[in-house]
Amino acid sequence: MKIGIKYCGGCNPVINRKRLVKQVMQQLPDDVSYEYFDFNDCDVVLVVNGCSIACAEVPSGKDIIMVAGPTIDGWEYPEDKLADKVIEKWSAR
Amino acid sequence: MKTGQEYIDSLRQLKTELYFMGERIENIVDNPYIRPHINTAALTYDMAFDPEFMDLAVATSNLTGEKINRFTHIQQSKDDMVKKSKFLRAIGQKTGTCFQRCVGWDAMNSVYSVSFEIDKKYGTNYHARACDYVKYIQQNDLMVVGGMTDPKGDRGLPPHKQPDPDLFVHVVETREDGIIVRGAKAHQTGAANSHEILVMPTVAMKPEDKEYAVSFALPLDTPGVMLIFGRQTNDERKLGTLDQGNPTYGVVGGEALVVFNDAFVPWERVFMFGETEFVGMMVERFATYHRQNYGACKAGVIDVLIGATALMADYNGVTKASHIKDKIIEMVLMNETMHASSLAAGYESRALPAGNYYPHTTYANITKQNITRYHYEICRLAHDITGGFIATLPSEKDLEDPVTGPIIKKYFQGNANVPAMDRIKMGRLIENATGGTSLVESMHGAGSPQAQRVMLLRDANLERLKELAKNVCGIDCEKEE
Repeated sequence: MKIGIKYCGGCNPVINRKRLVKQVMQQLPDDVSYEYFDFNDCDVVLVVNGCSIACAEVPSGKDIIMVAGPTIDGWEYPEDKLADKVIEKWSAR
Repeated sequence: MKTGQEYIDSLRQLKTELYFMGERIENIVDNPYIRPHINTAALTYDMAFDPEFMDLAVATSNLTGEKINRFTHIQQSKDDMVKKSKFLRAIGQKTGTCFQRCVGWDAMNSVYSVSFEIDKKYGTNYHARACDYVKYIQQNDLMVVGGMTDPKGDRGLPPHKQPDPDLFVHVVETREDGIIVRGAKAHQTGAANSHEILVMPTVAMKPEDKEYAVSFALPLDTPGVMLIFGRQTNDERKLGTLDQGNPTYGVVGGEALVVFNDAFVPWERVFMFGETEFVGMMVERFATYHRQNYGACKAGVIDVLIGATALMADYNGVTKASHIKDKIIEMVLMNETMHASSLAAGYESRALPAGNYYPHTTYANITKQNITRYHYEICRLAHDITGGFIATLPSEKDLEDPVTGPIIKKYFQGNANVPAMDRIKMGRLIENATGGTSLVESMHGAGSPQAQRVMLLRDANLERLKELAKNVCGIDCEKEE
């Protein structure tokens, strides 16, 4: 399985985007691979916005898990729970 | 696009004639006084390859359709103008200092737009030249210094009446293949480590100033071009590490006087020559583009300063004091106000006749005007919270000394849970970020405060505001429909 990681530009992030992605990767199976640039072959794209403005350009036609600051799909969580919630979203697919 | 290392390697190929501290500097790249500024500029190259930042750092050229570093982009939309502001804040947060490349970026957008309008009036071909030049910069990912500020001599006299005619850059000879230029551009941020300079006039001109109404571009290692690198406050600390405060990226951008001693400019690199009525437009375009930036790059730099100040409160054990919290709130309030006006200048930007986008002039001028005040006030609060020890800290050599080092660490200890060295490092960062060169740059960069106030008054449309007041009071005047 291939997961896309798409960051916003990081002008003033209120969460640690890189740490979140690292925590998500630690919980995903070893056979998952990651792509940062070309999302054509990705099954899911994790879009990681640093704040709730969510200005990252979202790849079209893809299954998206949207992190926007301390929120996922609009629901707010403590920052240390975000990775678990991303995994929940991913597992439900 | 170039990586940071490729950018640094490309600088080694240049033969820029640069002087500093009484000598010609042959190896600019490894010179300790200049290297921090090179490291900062190199980061702007690397960010275009970093997935965490490329959403802002990379743009698509309107001229070639290729992916380019955003610092070479001609603004194509409101979204571009907002991204500009966000990108600059992101870099400021990583470097804590000026990264220099926005000046040339704004110069390219100014020349791109004004050359188009000159062509429309006179049938010249400046715009095609400007497009070719921008394409060259984009495809080679070059760093351009925007050359606007002339030495200006007697500020009460126009260029042609100066006792020394070279105090504004001017054309001294016209040849079949180009022009010969003489004069200088002052305060040129990043010039020591740029590839090119893009020159624009600096004040509005009348027909008598025709020879001064010139815009052109040159490689900085062109024969006849020389640079004299400026001193900074505390710059001998660059010979060490800890005492610099920000040892990797330095303070401000590294400024130089760029002198043109009868340098030759081929016609294909001339974008204005003699069209005095367009000089004011070019000055205003550049100033407005550049003033928007100050609420972006400085916001990022001040984010670092606020963080450092809050840490100092922790290290000093005063975090819970209500007046400390209140002062930090004040710092945040001022910083976010500045960034908000920079963003507003982008969201309210408009398309120019050439097609590129241009910031809202009032919001851009408000941004810069606030910087000239708020940056000083924020630094004052940082000093207030941090304490006087940043002005009296012993040197890093004393810290390394086996006799004095342990004593310094003992007596500069604050909160017992924090190593004294952390407190000293943070103090040095705050000291260097809040004094001398960095504050003067905030005052005068992109134009001195009065220049913004003139534009604010001009754009305020007071006559309309008077009519509004009269209408509300029922005083006889033309009623609004």
